[in-house]
Amino acid sequence: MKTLLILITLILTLFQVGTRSLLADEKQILPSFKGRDLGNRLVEVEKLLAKGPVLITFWATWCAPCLREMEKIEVLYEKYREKGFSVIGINQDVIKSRAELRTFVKTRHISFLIIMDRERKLGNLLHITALPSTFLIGKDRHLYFFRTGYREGDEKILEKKIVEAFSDYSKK
Amino acid sequence: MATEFFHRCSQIIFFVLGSSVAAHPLSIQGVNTSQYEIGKQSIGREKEHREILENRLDVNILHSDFHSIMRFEVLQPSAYSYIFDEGLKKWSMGFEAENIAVTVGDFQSIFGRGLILNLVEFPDLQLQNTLEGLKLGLSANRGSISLISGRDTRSKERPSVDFIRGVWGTTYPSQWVTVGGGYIRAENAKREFQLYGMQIDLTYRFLELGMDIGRKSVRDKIEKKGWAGYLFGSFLHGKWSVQAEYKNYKFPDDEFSSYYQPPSVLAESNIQLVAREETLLNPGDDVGANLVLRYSPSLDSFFALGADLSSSHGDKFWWPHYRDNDLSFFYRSNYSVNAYYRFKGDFSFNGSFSILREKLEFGSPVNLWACAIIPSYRIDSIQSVEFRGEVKAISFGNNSNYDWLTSLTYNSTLPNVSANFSIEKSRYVVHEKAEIKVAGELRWGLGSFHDFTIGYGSFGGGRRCALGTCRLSPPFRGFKGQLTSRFGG
Repeated sequence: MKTLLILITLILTLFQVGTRSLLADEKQILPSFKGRDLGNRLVEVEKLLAKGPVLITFWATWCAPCLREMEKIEVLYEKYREKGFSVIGINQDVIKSRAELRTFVKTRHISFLIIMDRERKLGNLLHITALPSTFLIGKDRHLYFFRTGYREGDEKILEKKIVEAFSDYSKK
Repeated sequence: MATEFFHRCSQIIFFVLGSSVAAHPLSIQGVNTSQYEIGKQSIGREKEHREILENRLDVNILHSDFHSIMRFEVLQPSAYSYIFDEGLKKWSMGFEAENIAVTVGDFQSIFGRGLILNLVEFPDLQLQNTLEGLKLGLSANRGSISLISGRDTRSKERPSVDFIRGVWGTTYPSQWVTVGGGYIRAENAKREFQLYGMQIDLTYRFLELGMDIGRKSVRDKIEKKGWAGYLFGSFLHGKWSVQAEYKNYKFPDDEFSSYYQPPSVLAESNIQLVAREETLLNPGDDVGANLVLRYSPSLDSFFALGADLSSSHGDKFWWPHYRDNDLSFFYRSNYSVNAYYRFKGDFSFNGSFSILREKLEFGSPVNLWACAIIPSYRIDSIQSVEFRGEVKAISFGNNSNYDWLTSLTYNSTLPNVSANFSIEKSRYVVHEKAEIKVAGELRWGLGSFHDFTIGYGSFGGGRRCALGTCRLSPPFRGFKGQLTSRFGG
């Protein structure tokens, strides 16, 4: 019974996958989600997307490349936040409380939204296999930028994509 | 019986959902990872030959408020404790609306800081303690409640099945106060235990406070009880901060300990730069305290000074490097200085120095000092180089050893290539001969959604950060190649 279920679902899934383009240049659409930030306020991606593009980055306190990337993201956030740009840092530490994470974030002068994802619900939803993983989504939740890992210079590519995403918002 | 019922129901619902895929537009997204490895993997002190060809496909099917997650694995040969079934390795389906979330299938859950319940999954490390059953979450503006019921997914390999049920509620009276409490009960054919706990987080101006407390009872032929508590506090003012933690852990031992975990904090005064081990408030410790003073003059820099004191009884420790016997009482103290500074321009520097001393009830004390320096230099807008050097000196009885590690990482963003080379001298147990380990990795991106990595050499396990990415991986020596592709729309 289990084997039959697996087989049927796999065939139907492959049928759906096969009818879509698997090429990298088709714009992917990310699922919507919500969570609570470190101040216990509800954060909904759809509401943030109504104002402008949203950058989502998965990180952990022990991930040095994540922290270097977040420094660069903080600079971009300060530059474009007034125009409606939002950033959500989704923390993937397993055992951290809000109090500990607030201390960690404040001592690094990070001002963008942070959501805790200890149970990896969002990590599983977006298939996070390595850190950092960064997504830039814009109108209609289209994906403008995705990168696993951080290398020097990524922030320059990211800024170009932010500008491109903003230009799509001004189009009807 | 309840979990069996939900298991059957979910199979039927799963089949119906799968059948409707062709009829209704769904969003299907996922990641496929193909991996080949040939070499040796470290399992404890043993090294096993390893040659595997593995394909893991993670698929999400999303439709409105419904979602389904599946993981298919094909493994040749199928000889690993975690992957005991090929085919559908993990599955769950759920519904999430404004105030309710239901998950049927495999799920993870954490109550509090993990002191009461800590169900997690690390697929790359082949470690998991997830449950298969039902998880129900209800939320309102000022609070939420989570109910779980399930059986251990590793039961196929164990003589008896563990059933766990629990409830955890959290309320947010204001944005600066979180109060939670709950209960879990676990039982199998031989034994049962119950855990009650609560958690409070408070923020007042410059002050942060956190507390977890739990009470556990284990019933076998006799009943044993114990309690555990954890406190965290921090004070921030301008560029200065002070953090302190205290833990007192007296839960009685039992075989259910994999479902919960006492808080284990990675205080920055040591972890990131020096040793790979978690040295502070180790999960094996019974009592511990930690203090860190930090000064952050700018976004790019900080200096930290830390001290830790802890003690433990019994066989609960994680450092096989230092001793052979498994039963001892020891008292551990650790002092460290940590600095990170980025100079204007292209040069940045990380440095750390740590001293650790363990005093055993029987035998000689263990002394360790460790020092790490990590300068990095940005060559131009697309290339950078990072050098990492660590030295550790360990003395235990008549044994004194030095270990060193160096690595050189070259990164280039055009044409989306990264390379890493490392050379390290280290040992797994203090009386073993040190080994020189050499490893190299090359990674390049094929378009935005495909990633190809090849590596050869001896790689350390655990949390590994290389090529600009951090992953959890087991220690490995040999050749490996991996192709990861994301798809969907």
